Amino acid sequence: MRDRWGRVLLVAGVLGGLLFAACSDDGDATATATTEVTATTEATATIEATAAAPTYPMTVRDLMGREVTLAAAPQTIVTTSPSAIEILYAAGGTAIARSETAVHPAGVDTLPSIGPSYQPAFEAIIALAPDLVIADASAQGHLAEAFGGALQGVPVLFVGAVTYQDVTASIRLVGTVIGHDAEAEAAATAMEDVLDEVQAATAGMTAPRVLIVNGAIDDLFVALPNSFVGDLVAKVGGANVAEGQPETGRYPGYTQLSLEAIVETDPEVILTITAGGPSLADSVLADETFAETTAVTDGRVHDLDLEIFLQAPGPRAADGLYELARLLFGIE
Amino acid sequence: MQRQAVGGRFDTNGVFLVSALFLLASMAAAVSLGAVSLGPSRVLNGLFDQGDSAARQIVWQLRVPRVLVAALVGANLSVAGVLLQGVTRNPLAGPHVLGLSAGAGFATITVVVAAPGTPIELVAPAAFLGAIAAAMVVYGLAWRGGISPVRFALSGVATAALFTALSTAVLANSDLFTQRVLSFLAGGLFARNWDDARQIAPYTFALGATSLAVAGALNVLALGDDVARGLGMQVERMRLLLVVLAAGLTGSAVAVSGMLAFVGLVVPHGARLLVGSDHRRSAPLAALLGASLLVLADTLSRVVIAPAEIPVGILTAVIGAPVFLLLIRMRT
Repeated sequence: MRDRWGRVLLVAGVLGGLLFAACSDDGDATATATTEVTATTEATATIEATAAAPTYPMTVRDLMGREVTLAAAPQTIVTTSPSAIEILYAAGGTAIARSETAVHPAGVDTLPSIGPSYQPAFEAIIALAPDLVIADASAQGHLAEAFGGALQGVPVLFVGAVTYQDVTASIRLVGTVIGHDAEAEAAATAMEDVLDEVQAATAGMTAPRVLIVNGAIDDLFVALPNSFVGDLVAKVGGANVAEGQPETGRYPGYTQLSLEAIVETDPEVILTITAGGPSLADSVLADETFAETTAVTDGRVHDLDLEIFLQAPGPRAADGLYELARLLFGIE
Repeated sequence: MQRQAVGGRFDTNGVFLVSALFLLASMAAAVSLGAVSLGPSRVLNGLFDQGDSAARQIVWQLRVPRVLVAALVGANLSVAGVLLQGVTRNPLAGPHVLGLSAGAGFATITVVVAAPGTPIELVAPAAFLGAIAAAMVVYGLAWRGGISPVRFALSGVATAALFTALSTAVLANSDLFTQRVLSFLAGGLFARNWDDARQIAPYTFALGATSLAVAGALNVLALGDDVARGLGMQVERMRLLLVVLAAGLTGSAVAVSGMLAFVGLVVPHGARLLVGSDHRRSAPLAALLGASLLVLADTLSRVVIAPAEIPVGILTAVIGAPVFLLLIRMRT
């Protein structure tokens, strides 16, 4: 009798657990939908201020869709991510502080650090008395409330990039906010020109099947077209073999497929991103599972630049487009 | 042996006085130190003078609430540890080991992932319910017309594994708040503010006071169920009350700080070593010691590699593990 009760409880527990897991799946669908909405907002982020001579106070809508008001032209700007500082400099501005790993553009590595972008030291930001903080919507969006609570009275502008257009939109937005419209417009237009140039060059060429992976050989994350690197590959004209797969795993824009499923897509080009450790391209080339894929037999497995394609999505994405055109289509 | 059964090796009043002063000193140090070095006069400005706005913001809005949260979390987990070690008559019991943290963590993660906009006031009750659910599962698995402490502990280990697995399942299919949830799993107090302090404080004071009021019952339970029944105690009902109290203390702590290992396991041993096995003394002392431990650990986490932070969960494990081994050696 007692044993039976024990079993009933155990079964009930397991069933309950499965039910919870099922519920949480629904929750994830909701969460994903929210991400997509955010991305759309970012792509269509509009600048409400007028062009020409900047007038303050100025209210703009940032890439998280938040309204940000500046009382006067910002003079002391703290950036909290590598993308944020690159976008600021592309727009013609300068920062007084950076996040720990930000080393581009040249010279910013000597600026004081406010800590890592995933955990910025709010004390350090306050002590620098900035009149504008530029944060990163993709890396720090989840900290928006913490930024607001910790930096009361300091405007926080979220920029960032999930797509190439997000970068140009961010540059224009920052240019408006700091009163450098013309410079920012030139930088954004230059990026758009690169995109047009590359797309014109690859137009009509056969799209190679491309697999984009990061992580480690035994724990691969496959980039979907809605990741930053996936967006760039799609813009250049590559056919992502993971297109249509659902997002799974830890990172937005990525999916975790089984090795068999990956190999079955028989990619013609494999692009790898190595975040520390031995080169993932070398690992793929040496791996038995991948040995029969067209990409490996043709020797078309290439490591991409970690910062441009993953860690600091920003203005250098234009260089990334050239690089992808070279790797996928042989266009120099 | 007799020493442990009767009293500690030190004068009880002296121990409480020193522990209280030590907690105050720890909190003073924690408020004085941080990523930015302010100096004593500006720390005092931050506490009492509205005029120095930067110091006010850093000290009053960032440091003080975080120190309070650390103290309350440390006290909660430690008292929960005393209750659970008493109920199970097992020195290896603790909120983490018995699955209460895992249950609270699962509930919190599910709420955060499924409904990202959930107001902070609802997270603590959810975690509370999660911890109670875990406690009930443990209880149900262990129940065979009564609860044997050994079976209770073993069920706890299994339940901890179950809820940790469920949390991982939820996480594996979520993306939006991944960074937030990952830092939650490791445990940490990054960017904790007055909202978090307000969230946990009622639990600490209400459940903590109740726990101290019924701590005497643990002394009776320690004599064995038969003796306790002979003394007129309704053993199962009392055990259930104690477990629910421990679940509430654990759940509210997990809701604001994530899953911090070792605090609830180690501190009760330290308290018993100092004042002996009378739970009416060891429970309040554990609250003081636990608060001090977490305040100190969190201060170290903010200062050692400033402006970056070491996750406090790593520090509690680094401090807790050797202390635990030392305590075990001293007892045998």
